[in-house]
Amino acid sequence: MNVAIDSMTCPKANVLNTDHLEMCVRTAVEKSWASVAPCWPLQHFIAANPLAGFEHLSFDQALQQGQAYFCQKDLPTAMHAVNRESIKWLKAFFDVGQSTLAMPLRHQGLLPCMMQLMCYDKYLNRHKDQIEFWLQKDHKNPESLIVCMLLYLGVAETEQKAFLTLMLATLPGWSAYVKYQTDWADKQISVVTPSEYFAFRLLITCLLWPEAKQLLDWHQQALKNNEATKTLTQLKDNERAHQKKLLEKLAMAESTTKPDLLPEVQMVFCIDVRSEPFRRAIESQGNYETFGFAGFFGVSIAISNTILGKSHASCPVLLKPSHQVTDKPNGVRDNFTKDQQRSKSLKLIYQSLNYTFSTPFSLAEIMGVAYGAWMGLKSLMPRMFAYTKARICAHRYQHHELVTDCADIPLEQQIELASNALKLMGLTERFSPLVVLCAHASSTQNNAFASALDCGACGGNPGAPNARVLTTILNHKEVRNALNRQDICIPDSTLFVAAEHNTTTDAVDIFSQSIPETWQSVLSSLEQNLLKAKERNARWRMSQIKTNVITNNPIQHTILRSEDWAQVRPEWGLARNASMIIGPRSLTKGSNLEGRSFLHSYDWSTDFEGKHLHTIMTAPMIVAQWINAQYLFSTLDNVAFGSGSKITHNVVGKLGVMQGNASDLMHGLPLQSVFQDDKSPFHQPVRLTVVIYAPKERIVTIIEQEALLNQLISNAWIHIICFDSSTHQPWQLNRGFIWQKID
Amino acid sequence: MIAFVSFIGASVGSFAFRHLEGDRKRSTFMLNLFALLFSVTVLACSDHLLLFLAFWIASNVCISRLMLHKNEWPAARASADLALKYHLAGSTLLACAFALSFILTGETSINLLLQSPIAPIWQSIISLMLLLAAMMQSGLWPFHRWLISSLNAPTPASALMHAGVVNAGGFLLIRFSPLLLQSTLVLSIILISGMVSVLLGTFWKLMQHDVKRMLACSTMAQMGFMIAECGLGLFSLALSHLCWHGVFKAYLFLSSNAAAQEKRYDLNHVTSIRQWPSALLAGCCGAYTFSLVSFQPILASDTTLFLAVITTITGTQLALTLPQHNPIRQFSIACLSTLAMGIMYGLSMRMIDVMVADLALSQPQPINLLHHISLVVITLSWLVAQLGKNLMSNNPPTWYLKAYVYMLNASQPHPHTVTTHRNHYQY
Repeated sequence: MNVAIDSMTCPKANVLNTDHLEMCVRTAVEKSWASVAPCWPLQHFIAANPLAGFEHLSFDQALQQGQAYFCQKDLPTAMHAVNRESIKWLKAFFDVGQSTLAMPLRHQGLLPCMMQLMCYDKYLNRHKDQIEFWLQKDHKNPESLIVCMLLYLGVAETEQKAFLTLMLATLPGWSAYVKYQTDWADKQISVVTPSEYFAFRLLITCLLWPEAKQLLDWHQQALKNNEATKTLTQLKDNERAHQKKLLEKLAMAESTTKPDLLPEVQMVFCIDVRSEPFRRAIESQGNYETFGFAGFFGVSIAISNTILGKSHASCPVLLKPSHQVTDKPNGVRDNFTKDQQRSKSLKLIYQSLNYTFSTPFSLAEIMGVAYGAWMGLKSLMPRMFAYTKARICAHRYQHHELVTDCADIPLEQQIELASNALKLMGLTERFSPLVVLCAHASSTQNNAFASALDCGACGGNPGAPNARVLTTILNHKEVRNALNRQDICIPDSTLFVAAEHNTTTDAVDIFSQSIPETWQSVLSSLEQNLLKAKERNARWRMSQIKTNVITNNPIQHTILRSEDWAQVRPEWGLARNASMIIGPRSLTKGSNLEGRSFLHSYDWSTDFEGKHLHTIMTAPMIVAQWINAQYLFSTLDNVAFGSGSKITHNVVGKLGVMQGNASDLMHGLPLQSVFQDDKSPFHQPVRLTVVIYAPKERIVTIIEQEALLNQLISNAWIHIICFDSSTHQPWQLNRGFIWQKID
Repeated sequence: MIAFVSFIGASVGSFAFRHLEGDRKRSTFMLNLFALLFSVTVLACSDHLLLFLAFWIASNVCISRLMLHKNEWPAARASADLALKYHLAGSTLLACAFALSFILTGETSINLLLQSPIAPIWQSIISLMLLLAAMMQSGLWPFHRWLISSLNAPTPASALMHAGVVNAGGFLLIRFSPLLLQSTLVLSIILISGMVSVLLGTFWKLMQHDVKRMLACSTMAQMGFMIAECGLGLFSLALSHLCWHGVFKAYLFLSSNAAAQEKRYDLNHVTSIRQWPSALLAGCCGAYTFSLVSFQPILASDTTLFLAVITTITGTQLALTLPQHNPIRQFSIACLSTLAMGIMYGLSMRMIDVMVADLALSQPQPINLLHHISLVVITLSWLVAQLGKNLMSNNPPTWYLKAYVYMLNASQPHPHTVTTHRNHYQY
């Protein structure tokens, strides 16, 4: 080993050469990182396409590449040790709140911290001289370190990109998390750069496996051996069947002329596929009109909670929050604040006794009785526990409401938000007396992936605050006056109200505290009908879950699933999503789309320049594609792209899960989210089919303007079908952007 | 004991039944679970040496079957094998100890055997063999490797292991307490081996980054505490710790998936010197209540002093955590909470104490030098943790970095039980 180091010409010697080499490395680093897709932490789990780095390839090529990079049965033997040590240090470094004694020196960043600690690691410093050699290097400049290490490993300049990509692909979960840290996370907290990560990974590789160049041969072998044709055929069959059925349903739609009767209530739901069956259920109860709109209601806000002292961004990850709002109790008989404060101090006491020396022993004995009773109740009598809890909460928090204070948003911006939102959802005339903006959230217990079931448009959070902000704005007198000048006349008899749809229990909570008398009768009949819709939808949803829970009451069944701490399938989430429909509700009204479609309202006839369609296709449609791809790949290979069975999950660093003792960070959805049982998938793997009700030319213009859309469609990552507005005929856009008539 | 085993069994069992919905080997899992509960129950009631040994082995085999649930996953196989290896080594020692005592006394009943006279040297040898068997069973240092490598098991299996199977070590010592009480030297060795795990386990627990290994290291520390209680001659307290810790840990394991949402509060708030006297007073108040409720003397010159010290420390810690606004109001709140704590602690201990009163398990030992040292260690480790927390975060000295890396490596699972290649995982 010694000889190897001595004989190696260190690039530092040649100054001219150094710059050139570092440049090359910088390019290689950048290119190899492009093949990795980010993975969001569990606090706000966002669906992402795990093969997003291969979207520049056609779908079948990407599938093959993905298989060669991520689905290999085995690794070269020596690589296991490299991964083991990488995992050990990465989870220590990125931990955001599990350990009480945190890793020292973390604030200095990954590489400086590791360089100082690694020399004491007995698994790494077996060759003392070697580690000293690397530590002499300047760790302020990771690129020069990478140059040295690649030379040491004997990786030629032409192979650099391939080799670095393999360094990422052999530990895909952690690479994805680092990608999140470097590209998406709040920059103030971020402590790692792409080059630093490579330097870290290569350092361990140099110390444990100097012959790591063999990885390149291993990968060549993998490229030869793979076949993805079977998966692809299956996928295409599924898609064709789904499209055929969908188009048949759309063809049967009623004529697009609007009914004369003004709807009693208009409700705006999230585009989420879970809204579709619920919209159908509520529409069937009376003269209600529904709309589909991104669940953050066009307002990108950061919400701070005064009681818990937390703050989070509530908008799609593609946007940055533009406004700050606070969530505070409205002060009417507020048990909630007190309860939250009380529970906070109890938790604080518990934690201070548990996470120190000597006191945990008596804590275990003090708490033993209580925990025993609690465990018995939750496990042995889950029904009783669920109902009692639901009843107590309903009673105790009856009068509680969090009020979202949006006074900080300037009036002009309020007006802009309001007019954009209304135009985008196609609600600019014929306002009902009551317009409900209905956000959604989920309620599950003991579920590491809880945020995956919340509103994706709100960054994996409940959407109620956004709905509240927009209703406050729309009820604002001055805003309405200004809208009036833009030809959007909201009559005084119209009131906007916020609500939240609980997708786990199907309950809809209308935030109706300050509603004047005039609207009470409409509201109470709406509430009645929402209860009926809840039962209807719950019955349908529960029929989809294979179970041995015996109950005839679907509502009780959903509550049980929501409150049971042993439950691994509280709800199906967005499983089985397959298509997105951009068009008026009249196109889909009355047809049972089986909760498989994202529905976005759009009226081409009022969108003269195609501006709104442009927004829809570049924002909600992209998000739908991310979600679709996440479910697709998690189902195709739940180990490589999903996170495996929940029963052996181990939450690491409060940011992700591992399998068992230690493993790669398991990004992607758990087995139970997409499979009915170990063998049979519930989600049907298909690529997203987008049906747009608009003139063909307009769609193509937008696609040609946007490079991202261009890439997605020409590489067949999504299918675009135009439902021609004049002839009512479906046309499919092929990969060369030519419309083909579908029979 | 049977009631305790069946309660935990039923709770974890019904949790597992729903948690494993859709799992293709759910019925096998449930069968193994019942087999485990059956063998533990028989073990708890058996008096015959052979029966005890047979069901000791049976329950260990059952738990390794449960760990093997995902048997196509190499890391899970490695974990189960590792656990079984340690347990079989322990069982062999146990078998030797039993054989030896049978040869010496000719008795096959444990109760009769404990009444028969055995030469002191043999007594010590048998005791030490039992201690080693118990340490392997309970995952005490230096036999802890299997315990912190056991997390490839499904969550309910881990819950059962930490609530039940590891406790068998403590149960063994309690069962043979009359024998162990014969020699002060043996008791001292037991105390030392317990204390080592208390310190290591707690330290490791505080530095872990994933929830399950943190719980496993915590179990190691708690087991150390239980064994240390045995070494103090306080066997009924060890039994009480065994039961309550079992329930506590089972709950924590079952709810471990919620760790992602748990918000950790800042525990590093600086406590001013002024708070300490009142907090200490409140702690003493808690300890006094505890001694009243649990009928333990407060200031004894025997090993029950340990309890008073631990309770005082807990009470003080509790009082220090309470929000500080108004000193007088705070003091009264602190006293009230420590009072409540003392009552709860006392009651839970008293409950077990009353149940096993006839057996006269506990024999507090007169205080000796070793006990003093242990008391100092317990108090000091807490004080250092309480006061020294902030010192290390900004500019840690080299020795601390070395110690950190050393401890991090020491608390790693066995290399074969780590899933180093993602696709080696199989469901």
